[in-house]
Amino acid sequence: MFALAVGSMSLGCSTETRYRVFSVIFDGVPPPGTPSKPRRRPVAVMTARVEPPVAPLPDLESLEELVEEEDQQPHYESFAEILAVFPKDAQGNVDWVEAVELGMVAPRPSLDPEVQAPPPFPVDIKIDPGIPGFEVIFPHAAHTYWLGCNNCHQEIFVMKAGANPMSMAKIFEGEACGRCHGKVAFAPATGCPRCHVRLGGPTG
Amino acid sequence: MTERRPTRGRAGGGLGALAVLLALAPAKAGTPIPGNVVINRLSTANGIPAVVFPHWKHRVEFRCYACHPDPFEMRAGANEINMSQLSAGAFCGACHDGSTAFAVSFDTCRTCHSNAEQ
Repeated sequence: MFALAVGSMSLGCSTETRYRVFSVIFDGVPPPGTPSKPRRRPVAVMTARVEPPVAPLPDLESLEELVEEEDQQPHYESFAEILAVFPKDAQGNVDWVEAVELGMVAPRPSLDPEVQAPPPFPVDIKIDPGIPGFEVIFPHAAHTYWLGCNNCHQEIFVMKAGANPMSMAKIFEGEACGRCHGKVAFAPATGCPRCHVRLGGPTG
Repeated sequence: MTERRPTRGRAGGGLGALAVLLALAPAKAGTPIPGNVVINRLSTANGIPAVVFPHWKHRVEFRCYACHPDPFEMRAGANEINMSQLSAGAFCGACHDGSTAFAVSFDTCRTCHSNAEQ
């Protein structure tokens, strides 16, 4: 009832009357004509890092170039972040081929920014070790993204089918594929189905 | 990239043994990162920790053929690198010049000469 009375007074009375009544009931009622305090708005909590002010924006053309460059070069805070977020192989190491496919990394072909990467060489080579189920498919495309022809030919691999006698023993000793695999690329010991494709499944 | 990725999503029913084998060999925490190459042609002989070259840190920025086979031949011991050459802009010094990458200086020795075993 009291609340109803106060409510109706606050709506129906003049400012003067309202002040007189309210100042009897409540402390600290501002006299009429006092400019009302700006209402305090909730302050958003900043969780994102505030970037320092940058130089004036470049013109549109160079901005587009910048965006293009940005697209080609994903940035990471640290190498630890890369190890954490990049796709992994069976051994838990970074799967660089998949990282490239996902656009997570775009390494440059040369220190010279003018140098363009040649297109990958899309030829798969079948290698038959003579053991059913252990056929190998060597994908040139995945390799030529990273390597030039001259990294492997003709010193490590002669460019002639059957001219490169290979064995897993040799590979484990660091010869042939083992020149890289097991050193800087995925280890032969755990990456079996990546080369022996049928070990990965019936349709491999 | 059109290369085949036969390992993903094609686990055959008859290959449970292989799956178990792979599951038994998970990545251990603290496993050395592949491609960390120790270069020690001169270092320890001169009382300085050997260099650990992290291939994978460099791989993020550059493809293999940016550095191989020129200026770095891909064989351990094949590249006669010394600090004077780096300062003159050869080998690592081509990038590590203070603009493309951190400079080779007496402030940065342990960044490369970082072999913890010495």
